[in-house]
Amino acid sequence: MSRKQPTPQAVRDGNLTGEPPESKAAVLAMQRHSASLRRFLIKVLNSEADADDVLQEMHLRLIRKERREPVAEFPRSYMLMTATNIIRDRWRRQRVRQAGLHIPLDQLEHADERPTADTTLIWRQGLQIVKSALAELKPADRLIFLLHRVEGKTFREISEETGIPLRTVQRRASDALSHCKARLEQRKWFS
Amino acid sequence: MKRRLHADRNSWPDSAAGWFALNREDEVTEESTAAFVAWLAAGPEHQSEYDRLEQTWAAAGTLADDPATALWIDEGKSALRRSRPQRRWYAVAASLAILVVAVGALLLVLDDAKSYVTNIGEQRLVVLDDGSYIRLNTDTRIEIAFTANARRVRLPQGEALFDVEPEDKSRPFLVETGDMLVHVTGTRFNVKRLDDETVVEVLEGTVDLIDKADLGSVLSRIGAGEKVTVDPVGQASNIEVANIDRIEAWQEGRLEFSAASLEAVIEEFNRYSKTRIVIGDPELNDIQVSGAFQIGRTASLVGALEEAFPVRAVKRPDEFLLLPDKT
Repeated sequence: MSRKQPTPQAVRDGNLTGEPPESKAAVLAMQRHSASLRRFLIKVLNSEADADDVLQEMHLRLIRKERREPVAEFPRSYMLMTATNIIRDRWRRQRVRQAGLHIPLDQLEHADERPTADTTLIWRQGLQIVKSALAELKPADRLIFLLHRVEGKTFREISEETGIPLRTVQRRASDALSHCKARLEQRKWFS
Repeated sequence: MKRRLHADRNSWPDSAAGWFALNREDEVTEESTAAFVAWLAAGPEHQSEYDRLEQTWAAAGTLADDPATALWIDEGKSALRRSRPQRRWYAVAASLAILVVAVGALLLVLDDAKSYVTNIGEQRLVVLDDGSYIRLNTDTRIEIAFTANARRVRLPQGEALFDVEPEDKSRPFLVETGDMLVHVTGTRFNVKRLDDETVVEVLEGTVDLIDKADLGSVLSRIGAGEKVTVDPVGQASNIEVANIDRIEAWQEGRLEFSAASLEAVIEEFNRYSKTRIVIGDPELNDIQVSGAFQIGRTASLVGALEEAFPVRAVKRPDEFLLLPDKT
């Protein structure tokens, strides 16, 4: 079976099959939200040019996302999160450039996602460290974190299930994550 | 009523982890986003902190496939149910009475493990809901609790051969015995727990041996044809060769010995019979015995021993006393 070579544009859009793009939800979301998002971004970033760059990148990411899995609709909160992710990526690149540092490819958003033997090992080590960090927590706090991370429950659902106030659930979940991060730092896991 | 997670912005979020938690909820608004971007902009250390939390979150992603996680969640949930018995009652009173009663009852049943017991000399086959089966050897007790998170079997005492359906990936199959946890990734294995010692032997596939006190790490991975013994203080041996013949033999009601000490043979035989054999003189302990015997046929073993070795048996109530035959 012969496959059409993807065009450079298609590669950039994440469309590797060479098929015409199907991105109704992405197009619709941009039509609906881009004007107000642009105003919002200008206010937040204090720059029209930066706001436009972020919007461009957002369009691309929504298309890519929809390419990977069918999306009925992109909610506004999703677009806001995408915007903050884009802003963070931009600032990270700036930070790296300013420090003259080399940034490992696998930390960039769009680096190849296929795990190599090396990265698999790194993640496995990370999991081990996270597990021993979780073992140090109080069982009730560990449960909150696991219900959130593993079972995908929202803080509100966890609060209802456990009878623990919402704010406490949030705080314990984030403390648990901080604790894991501290252990990963201690073991010099972050590159 | 509009529900907002960032209602009092003065106290929450107050850290990178707090922001991370807030952003995890699908309730971000322009207001919270603007505040978050301002927080990020306030210092590059905020940004790298946040990046690291994101990577920590990712590292925790494979927890879902981990047996320790299943056990943690399982035990956490049942502790929760135990500590909040009144909640179920409130829930019943508050809403959807019938539905909640049904769910409550279901949880209660799952919480109570089913027990299976064999007496001395008995064997028993237990078929589990998932198609796995467990064959109990003599004088054995197991408790089975299948929950949404794990298929758990406790073996406080005795011996059992497990033949496990590995298909159900979302619910790891865990055997708890003493301080050890056997996580089944393969299919057929034998667990024996006698006198606080645990022996795990694998016939097919692999199992992981995990110390319950340290769920974070695998003590040893036992493959087909291999055996690990855990002594009463929780020290695991190196990998040894499994005695597959012995395991296959007990399934068929036989005991097989090859150049075993009389002491070991008697100890093994006594597991299956209320009529015990007692060695009356330590000088007999090291007699080498080989052969296959029918489980529970104490008299025939005694007869064979009398024929083959310079021993004589004295029949007493509930036991045979073996003494050297000096004639």
